[in-house]
Amino acid sequence: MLTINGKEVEFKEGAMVLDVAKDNGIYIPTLCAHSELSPFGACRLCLVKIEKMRGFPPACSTPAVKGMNIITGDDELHRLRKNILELILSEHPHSCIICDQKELCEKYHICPTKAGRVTGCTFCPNRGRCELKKVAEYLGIEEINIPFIYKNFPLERDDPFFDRDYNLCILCGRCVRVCQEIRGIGAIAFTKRGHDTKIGTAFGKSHLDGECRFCGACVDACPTGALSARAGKWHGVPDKEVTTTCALCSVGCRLKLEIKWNKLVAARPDEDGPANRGQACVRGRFCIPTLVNGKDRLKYPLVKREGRLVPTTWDEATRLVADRLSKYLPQEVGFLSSPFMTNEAAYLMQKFARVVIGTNNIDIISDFAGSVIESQVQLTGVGAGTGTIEDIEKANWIIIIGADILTSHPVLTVSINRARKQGALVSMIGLENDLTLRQVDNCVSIEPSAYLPLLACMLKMIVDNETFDIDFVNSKCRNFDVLKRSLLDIHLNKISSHCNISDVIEKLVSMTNTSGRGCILYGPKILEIEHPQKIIQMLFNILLLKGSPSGLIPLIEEGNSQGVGDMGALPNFLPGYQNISDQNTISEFENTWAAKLSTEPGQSYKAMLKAAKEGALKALYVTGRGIPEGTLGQLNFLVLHDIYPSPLFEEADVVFPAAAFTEEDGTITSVERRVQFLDAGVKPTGMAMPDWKIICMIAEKMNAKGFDFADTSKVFDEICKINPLVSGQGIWALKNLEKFILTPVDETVSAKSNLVYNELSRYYRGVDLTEKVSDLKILYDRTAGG
Amino acid sequence: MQKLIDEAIKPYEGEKGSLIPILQSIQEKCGYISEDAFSVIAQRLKMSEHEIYGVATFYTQFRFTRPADHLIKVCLGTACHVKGNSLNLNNIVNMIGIKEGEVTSDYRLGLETVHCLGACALAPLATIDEEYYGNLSPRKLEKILSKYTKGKAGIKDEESKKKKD
Repeated sequence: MLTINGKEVEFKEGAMVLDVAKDNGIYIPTLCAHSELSPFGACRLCLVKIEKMRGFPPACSTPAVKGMNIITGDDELHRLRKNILELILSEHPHSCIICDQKELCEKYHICPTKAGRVTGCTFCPNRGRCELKKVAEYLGIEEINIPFIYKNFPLERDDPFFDRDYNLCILCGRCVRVCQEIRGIGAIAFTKRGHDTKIGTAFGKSHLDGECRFCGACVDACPTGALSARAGKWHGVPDKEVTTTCALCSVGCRLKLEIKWNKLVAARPDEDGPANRGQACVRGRFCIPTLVNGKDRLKYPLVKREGRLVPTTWDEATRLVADRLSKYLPQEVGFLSSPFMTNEAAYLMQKFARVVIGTNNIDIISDFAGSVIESQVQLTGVGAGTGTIEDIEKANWIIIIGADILTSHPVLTVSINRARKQGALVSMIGLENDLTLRQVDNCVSIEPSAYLPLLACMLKMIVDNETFDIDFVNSKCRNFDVLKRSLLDIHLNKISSHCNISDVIEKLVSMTNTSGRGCILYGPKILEIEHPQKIIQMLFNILLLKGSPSGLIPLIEEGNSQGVGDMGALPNFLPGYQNISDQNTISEFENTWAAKLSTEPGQSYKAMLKAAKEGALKALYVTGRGIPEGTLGQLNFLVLHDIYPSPLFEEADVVFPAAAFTEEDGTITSVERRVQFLDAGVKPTGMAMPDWKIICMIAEKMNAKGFDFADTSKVFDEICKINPLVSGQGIWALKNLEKFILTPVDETVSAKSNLVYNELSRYYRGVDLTEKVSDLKILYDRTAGG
Repeated sequence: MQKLIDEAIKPYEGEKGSLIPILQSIQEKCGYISEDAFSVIAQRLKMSEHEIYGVATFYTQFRFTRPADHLIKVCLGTACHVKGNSLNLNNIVNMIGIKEGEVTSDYRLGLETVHCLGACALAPLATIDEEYYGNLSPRKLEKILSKYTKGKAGIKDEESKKKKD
């Protein structure tokens, strides 16, 4: 209990005076305080009076104490704050803040805004989101009686994505702190001191040469226009903002799309996003407008005439596809679904394949998702990881294996950092560089072929030393004795010295011995060995032995491969991973869909490509890319959904222009099984249409029933009815297993597969982002592989 | 250099809050803190080099460029100014090819200006290291500088002295 402005209020332990004020609806002006950052006390605007305390303590960094008597605003404080802000403004171009014609000017935007730097009154790129102006208006600053100093720093625009004009910087330190505290990178710092202080890098290096990953966290934290994203910089205040979910990777960041003149001009992370909490990465923050606004986006349906693709109407194109598809036998048709489609589109696509065509030949175009689903179904009954982002943040030890997480899932590193701050130990297996070395406690640089021996040795050591969770293993696990027996054949010394891993095993095992929850994140590098499923099994074994079953997270790179799998776009599973060979399930689905279903499992992605090459598969319906070139030789009929011209055009017979994720409604499911909404910010480009609509149109032409939906919410309703896992927004729960199964170790030598992990994190629907966004290419060329 | 940096860091390895003593120790051993030193410290302390640079530039005690072997200080105090020492400064600039505040590319000579060296009777005046050279004229300057630029005659040239020993 303390008194604030004469009112007695309760407060939480550890809260600062500023937090207490905020909780009670009292505004105190601040510039350097930030909800996600620790108190700093740089701007001095939040000075308050506290009885029995000397001077004017800053509210942001003074802990609330029982019995305090606080005054947050009176004439004296107002004068003081005004003086402080005047001092700040004496080094910040401020004609836009104190001009007497401000109101009219803001309304009509009379001056052009195309200059490179702030020279006069209307050239600030941050117009519309200036915290400095807000505070100045609150304090009623009308003139500044201190001579103005223009620091005359050169404009810094040699780096990709964002410009820096440190003449506008007020040294609040938010950018430095967000980079250090939240992102754990520290690519910028305060350099020099006093009047010469400037945010910068060591020896004035460029950000590219420094360790910046261009996540844009600094740009979003900046209260002024000092840091500004280059694309869309001069569009001014957006007409509207739409919150949607990013589909470029599987983290499920919520983004605010800024729309001006019916065009997407920028994307910013949403502070309320459950997965990202105001953070984003280079792709989500900077690449989306360029990706979806490309001039060569597909705008019309195309059909092949005399060897050339020519534009046509939707009616003709869909009729053609309907006619042709009905001529093939069910087993001659295959469907490959893009892992970037919405849940609704994926659901309708598999329904179309099963109900209208009558085949189970449907799969996701993704090697990694295939392996993940196969192993996870085996382990837990559903094709999803067991962990959530909350599990990462609450973990006491974390292992990351086979992933360049800083490039593929930068936002997850924020959660890992949060865990580390609370004392979690983090080990990285498979990659080593300066930056990751700093972000983890222990780096094990080994080839994928050594993953399996390493994990087998870890299991052996855990079992031999009896450092596993005995209660959990006894009560919740089956086959422990089988596992134990299989470990008898493993000779620690032999394997560890052979693979040069002897010293690291002990380190890893002792890390997992710290009590509490564990979490393992595995990435697509495990595909570089013959049986990646074995690695997933071993990882789950470790978690089970340690009593942390809910800690396995596959670092899937594609935006919605989780959801596409959940929706049953798989050769052997119906929606919700219900087995196709189960007669009860089949008859249930036959009832709801009012159609006869084939119980013969379909062909997988790889098998379909092989069949297409050999001529057994005659027609292929593909909604993405990423298919190896030259594999579709014998194909008779190829239908494509795409957003850009693709290498498959030569073989395609019909091409439908699809909407990008910023242009469609629907839901997608993130890596932590979180179902989130997509909201169309803009209309699809040209005549493009969302995938689900295209499929419905073709189904209608084929006189199929059950494809008549007004919008995606109706489709989602049907999904919720049919899929026992998904019942709405939020994380869907795993099946409640009575007992987990431990898998025996039958192999410790792993042959190399012919797959080389190709940086998937640069694709959207098979479109290479680095091709469309030249700045991303510059960055990835510099940071590839770490 | 690498060895000296390693030696400087070693006693502090694994110790928290040891950044400033490490920086001091490196400057003591190497004469300055090089760019390479920053990346080595960053690696060892698991810190960002930018953060370290921020700490180091806060203090005026740290130098980040290699100092010259011999430092020329040209006086521009009142007496020297009246006696036209700025002309001598121009001459030096022309002769050794660096501006005030710079160091020659072979690190032999550095140039600075000062305001009064306290020997106005000798104006116009310059010092090189601890040696005073008064009543400077262009010809005299050329003679003096040639000792340092060519490294002959051994005056004050400690390195060549050591070699002789």
